[in-house]
Amino acid sequence: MVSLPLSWVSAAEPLKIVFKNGKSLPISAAVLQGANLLVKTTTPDFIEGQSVSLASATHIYGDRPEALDLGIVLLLTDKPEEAEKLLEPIVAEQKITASIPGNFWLEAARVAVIAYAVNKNTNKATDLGKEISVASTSQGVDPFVTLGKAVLMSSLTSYGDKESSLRSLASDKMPADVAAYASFYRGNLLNGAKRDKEPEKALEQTMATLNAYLSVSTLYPSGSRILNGAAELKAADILISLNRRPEAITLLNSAVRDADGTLIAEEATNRLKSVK
Amino acid sequence: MTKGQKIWFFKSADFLTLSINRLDEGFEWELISINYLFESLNMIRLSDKTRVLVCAVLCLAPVMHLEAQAPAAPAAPVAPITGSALKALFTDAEAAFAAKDYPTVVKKIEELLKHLGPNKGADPDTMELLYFNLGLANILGGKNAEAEAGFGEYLKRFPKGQFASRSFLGLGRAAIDQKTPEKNEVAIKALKIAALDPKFRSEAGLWLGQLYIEMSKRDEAMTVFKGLIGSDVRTPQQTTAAVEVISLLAEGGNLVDLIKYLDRLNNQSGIRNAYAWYASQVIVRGDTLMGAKSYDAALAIYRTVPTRSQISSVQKASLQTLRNDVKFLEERVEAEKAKEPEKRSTAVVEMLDNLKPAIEVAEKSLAAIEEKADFDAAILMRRGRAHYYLDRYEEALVAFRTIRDKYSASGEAKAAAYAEIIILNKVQNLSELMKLCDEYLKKYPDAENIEQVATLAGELLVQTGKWDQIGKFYKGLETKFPASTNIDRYVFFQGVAHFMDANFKESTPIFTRFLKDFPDSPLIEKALYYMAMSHFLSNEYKKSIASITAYLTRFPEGDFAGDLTYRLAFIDFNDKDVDQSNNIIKVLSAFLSEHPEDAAAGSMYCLLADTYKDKKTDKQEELDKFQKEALEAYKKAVWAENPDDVVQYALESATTILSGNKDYPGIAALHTEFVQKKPNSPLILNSISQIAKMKAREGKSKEACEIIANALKPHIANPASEQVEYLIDELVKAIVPRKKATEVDLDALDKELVEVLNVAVTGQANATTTARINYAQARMAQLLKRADRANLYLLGIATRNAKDPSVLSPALLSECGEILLKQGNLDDAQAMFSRLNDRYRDGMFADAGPVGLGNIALARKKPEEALEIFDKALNGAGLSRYKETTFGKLQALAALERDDEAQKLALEITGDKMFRGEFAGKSYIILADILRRQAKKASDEKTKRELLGQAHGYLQRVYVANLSVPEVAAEAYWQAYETALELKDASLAMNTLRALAAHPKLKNTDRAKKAVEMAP
Repeated sequence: MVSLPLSWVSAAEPLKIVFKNGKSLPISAAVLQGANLLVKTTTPDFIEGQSVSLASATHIYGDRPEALDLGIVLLLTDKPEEAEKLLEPIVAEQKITASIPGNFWLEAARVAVIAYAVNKNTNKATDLGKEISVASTSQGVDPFVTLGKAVLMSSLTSYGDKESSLRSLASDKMPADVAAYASFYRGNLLNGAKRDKEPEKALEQTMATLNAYLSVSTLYPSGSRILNGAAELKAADILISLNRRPEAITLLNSAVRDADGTLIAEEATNRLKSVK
Repeated sequence: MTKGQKIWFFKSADFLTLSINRLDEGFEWELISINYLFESLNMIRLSDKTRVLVCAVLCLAPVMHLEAQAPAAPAAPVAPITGSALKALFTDAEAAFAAKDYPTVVKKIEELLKHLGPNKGADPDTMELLYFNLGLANILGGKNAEAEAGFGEYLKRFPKGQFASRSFLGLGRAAIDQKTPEKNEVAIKALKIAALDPKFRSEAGLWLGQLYIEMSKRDEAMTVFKGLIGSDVRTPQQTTAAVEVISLLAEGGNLVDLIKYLDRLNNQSGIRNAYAWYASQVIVRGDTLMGAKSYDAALAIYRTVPTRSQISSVQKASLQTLRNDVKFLEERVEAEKAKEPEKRSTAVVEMLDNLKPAIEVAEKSLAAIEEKADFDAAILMRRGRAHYYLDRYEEALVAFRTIRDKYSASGEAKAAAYAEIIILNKVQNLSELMKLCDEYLKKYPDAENIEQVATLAGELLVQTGKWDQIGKFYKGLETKFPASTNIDRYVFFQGVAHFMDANFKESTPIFTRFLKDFPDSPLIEKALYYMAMSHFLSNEYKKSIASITAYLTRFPEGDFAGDLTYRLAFIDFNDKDVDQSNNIIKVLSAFLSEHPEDAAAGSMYCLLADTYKDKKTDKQEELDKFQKEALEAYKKAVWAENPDDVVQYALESATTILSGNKDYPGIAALHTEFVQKKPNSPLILNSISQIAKMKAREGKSKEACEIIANALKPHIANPASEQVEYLIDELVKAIVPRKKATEVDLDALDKELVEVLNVAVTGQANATTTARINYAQARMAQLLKRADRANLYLLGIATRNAKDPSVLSPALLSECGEILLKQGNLDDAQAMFSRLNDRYRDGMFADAGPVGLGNIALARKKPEEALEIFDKALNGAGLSRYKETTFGKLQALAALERDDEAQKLALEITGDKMFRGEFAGKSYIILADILRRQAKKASDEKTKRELLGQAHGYLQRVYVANLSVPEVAAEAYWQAYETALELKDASLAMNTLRALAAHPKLKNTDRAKKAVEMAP
C-alpha cells in the first residue's frame, strides 16, 4: 500500500453544486436560467448546454471563501468600504447558489448589506436587500435587511429610535446571526453616545454598552465565531477602561481564540501585550 | 446500467440502507443511499459507537445490481450451475445477510465466486460486488483476519473499483480489531488512503485518530483531527463522526481547533438535516466536559447550541424535504403496482419502509426539544455556569440576568437569580447586588437559601455605609426571623447602624439589650467595644471609663484592648483638673512593653510622646529628658504599623524636635532610616527631599546621592513603579550645584550621575534601567538649559523602545509618546499612549494616554475619532490633563468644521483663567482660523471683511498677550499678516511682518526667521 502524508486536506477546491444523484458542478461552470442551471462548460459530470433543475441541488460543496471572513473582519473593524470590495465579488459570482442549502452567497450578501448600511449607501443596500429577501427562505423581508435598515438610519433619526430598532432585533425571535449583529451594532451605538456628567449614570451607560457587546458571545454566540471575537475585543476595551484588567485579559484571550487567523485576533494579541 | 436491470438488496439489521437505480424522464437518479442511524436521541453510546460506525460506513451502499444472465460455460472441477441455481444462491446470501448469519453469507458468496469466475464471462460489476461483500460479511461476522484478506483481495482485483475506498476502510477496521502493532501499521496505511476520498474522510479520520490515541500517538491523532476540520459533513454517518470528533478535539484541549470545527459544522448539510439530534448530542458532550472541569471546551460547545426556535425551524425544513421524498416514493409504489408481478421492483417499497421510520425518529428528536419549554433557559444556564467557573463574571451575569428577565417562569430562574447574587458579591457590585437581594427576598420568600441571601444583603448594606437603611433592614430581619440562629447578629447590626450614624442615644440601649440577651454571642466583645465607644464619643467620660474597664476586665488581651487603653489614657490626657501625665506614661508604657505590635501602638506612642512633650518643669535637665523621651516615642510611632496619617504626624513631630535642636544630621538619619525601612511608603518623597536638604546643608551631597540611589534600587528596574522618576529628579537636583548653567561642566556631572545610578542598577540592568538612566541624563540637561541634549536623550529612549513599550514607566511612556508625536512617528507614539491607556489607567498619568491617542487621531486627520476620544476622556474619571483634553476637543471640532460648537468652546477656553497662556492663545488662533475659513465662503464683501476683521482682532490679542509662549505669539503674528493680506491691507500686512521679524523675544521661532527673509 502507498504511504501517504498525514494530512490529506487538499488545496482549496472550487465551490461545487452537489445534486441528489451525487454529481457535482463547479459554480463557475453554470449560469442561472429560470428555475434551472444551464451548464456552460463541459465537466466530468455534465455536458455543455445541459439544463439541470435547481430543485435537484442538495447543497454546496467546498470551503468557505476566505474573502468572506476577511470581509466580515473589515466590516466589524470599521472598514466597511474595504469590506464591500471583498464581498461584492462573492455576491456576484455565487448568486446562482442563492437558493441552495449551505450556500455562502446569502451570508456574503447579508454582510454586504450591513456594509452598505454602515457606509450609508442606501441604493445598494436596498437593491441587495431585495435580492436577499427573494432568496431567503424566511417569509417576507429578510431580517438582515431589517437590520441593515436599522444600521442605515440617518443622523436625523433620534438616538432612542436607533437604539430601540437595534434592541428589537437583538432578540431570541430572530436568527442567532441577526441578533448577534444587532447586539454588536447596538453596542457600537451605545459606545459612541455621550456619557452623562453624573459618574453613576455614566457608569450605567458603560455597563449597558458592555452588556450589549457581551450579549453577542453569550446570548447569540452561534451567530459567528468572528463576530464573537470582535465583540469580545470591544468588551475587553470597556473592562480595561473600568480597570478590570484580569477579566479583560480573559476576554482578549477568548477573542484571540474565537477570531483565530484574522486581524481581530491580531489586534486582541496586541492589546494583550499592551495590557499585561 | 440500463433500464430494467434487476436490483438486489442486502440489508443489515443494524441500519437501514436503501438504494434505487432508476433512469427516468430527464431526471436521473443513479444512487441514493439513506442510512438511518438514529435509534434514539442517545443512539451513539461510547461503548458501542465503533460497532455502529463500522456498520454505517461499510454498508453505505452494499448494493448488488446483477443482470440475470445465462450461466457461463462450465469449467472443471466446478459443476455447471443453472441460472435459477445462481439466483437461489443470491437469494440465500441476501436472506443470510438479513438474518445476520454471516458465516452463511460468506459460504454462499464463495460458492458464487466459484461458479462465476474468473474467466467465466461473469459481469465484472457482479464480481466486484461479490468480492466486496465477502470482506463485508467477514467483518460483520467478526472474522477480522478473513475480512482483511477479503478486502485485500478486492483491492488487488479492483484497485480503482467503486468500492475501493470502502474496502480500504474495511481493511483498516479489520486490521485495527486484530490489535497487534503490525496490524496497526496496516490499518494506518489503509485508513490514510480511504481518507483521500472526501466521502469517507470523516469516518477514516475518526478511526485513524482513535487508533493513534490508542497507540499513545497524541500528536499524530491531533494532526488527523485537525485535518477533519476541512472535511464535508453531509451524510448521517459523517454527522455521527463529527460529533465524535468534537469530543476528541475537546478532550485534546486545543480550543482553537475545536472552535473552528464547531463553526464549520454549523452550516453543514448533514448537521442541518439532523439538527435536533445534533443539538442534543453536543449538549451531552458539553455536560460531560463540565463534569470534567473542562470549562473552556464546554463553553465552546454550549455556544454552538442554537435556540429552540432555530432548531425547530431548521429541523422542520429538513423534515419537509424528507416528507417530499416519501410522497414521491409513494407515487412510485403505485406506479409499480401497475406492472406485471415478476417485473415489479421491491426497491421503492423497501425505500419507503425505511424512510418513514427515519422521519419518525427525526420528528421524535424535534418533539423532545420542542416539549422542553425551558430549553433556551437551560442552555443559558449552562453557558452562565461555564463563564462563572472561568471567572468570566460579566458574561455569566449576562446569561443569568437574561434568564431572570426573559425566562422568569422557567425552572432555572431561581437558580439564575441566586447565581447572580453570588457573582455580584464576588465583583463587589454593591448597588446592583442590593437590588437583586431585595428582589430575591420578595420573589422567593420560601427559598431554602432565603436567610443566607438576607444575611448577605445585610452585610452588603453594611458595606454601603447607608446606616439608616441598615438599621431598618436588620430590624426587619429580627421581626421576620425571630427564631433565627443569627438573631444576635440582627440585633448587633441595629446597634452598629445607629452607632455609625452617630446616634449614640439609640445605639446604647440596643447594645445594652444585646449584652443582656446574648451574653454568649461571638459578637459580645465587639458589642462591649461599641458600648464603650458610644459613651466615649458622647463625651460621657464616667460611663466611658466604666464601660472601657468592663471591656478590659473581660478581654484584657482582646482585639480592642490597645485602642481602649489609648482612649482611657486620652481621657486622662484631657483631664483639666489633675495632672495625669505620670499615670498616662505608666499605663501606656506598661501596655506597649507587653504589646509592642498592637494595632493602636502608633497612636499610643504618639500620645505618650505628646504627654512627655507637654510635661512642665522648671529644670532644664528634666525638660531635656522629657524632650528626649518624646522624641524616642515619636520615633517608635514612626516604626509601628500605623495608618499613614499617624506615621506622618510622628515623623513631622520628630523632625520638628530635631530641627529645634538644630540636629540636622539627626533629621537626615531619621529620614534615611525611614527611606530604608519603608521604601514603599507614600511619604518617602518627602523624606528624600529632607535628606537632600540636610545633606546639602552639611556639604554632603554625595551621601544624599547614595541614599537616593539606595532608595531607587528596589524600584528602578520595575517599569510599573511610578515613584522612580520623582526620585531621579531629586537625585539630579542633589548632584547639580547651585551655579549658573554656563559655569557647570555638564559632561562631568553627567558622568557622576550615571555612576551613581549604575550603583542602583547593579545586578538588575535591563531595558527599563537603561531608559531611566537616559531619562536622568535628559533631566540634568534640561536643568542646565541644554534642551537639545535633553531631547536627544528622550528621543533615544523613545526610538529604542518603540517596539516594546512595556519596558517603560508611565512617566517615560508619556514623554516618549509626546516626542514621537512631535516627530510625526504616529504608529510608535500610538503604541506608547495605548500602553499608558491600557496598563496605567488608574495611575498618576491616567489622562496622558487618552490625550495622546486623541492627538494622534488629529495628526492622522481623523477628527471624528479624536473627538470621541477627547469626549470620553472629559467624561471619564481623572482630569489631570483637563486643559490638553479640552483643547484637543476644540481642535477636533474645528477640523470637523462644526463651527458653532468650536467657536463656543474656544470662547469658553479663552474666557477661563485656567487656560491662560498657551491654550488660550492657541484657542484664539483656532477661532481666527474658523472666521477666516468662513470669510472665504462669505457671499458678500461686507460680511467677508467683518469676519476677517474679527479674526485679525483675535490674533492681535494673542501676540500682545502671549509673548511668554514665543511659538504661539509668532504664529499669531504670521496669521495676522496673512489675514491682513486677505483684507487686502498691504500696509497692515507689511507692518505685521516687520514687527514679527524685529521682535527680540520671537527671533528663534521659525515664523520670525521666515519673516526676516521676507520683510524688506
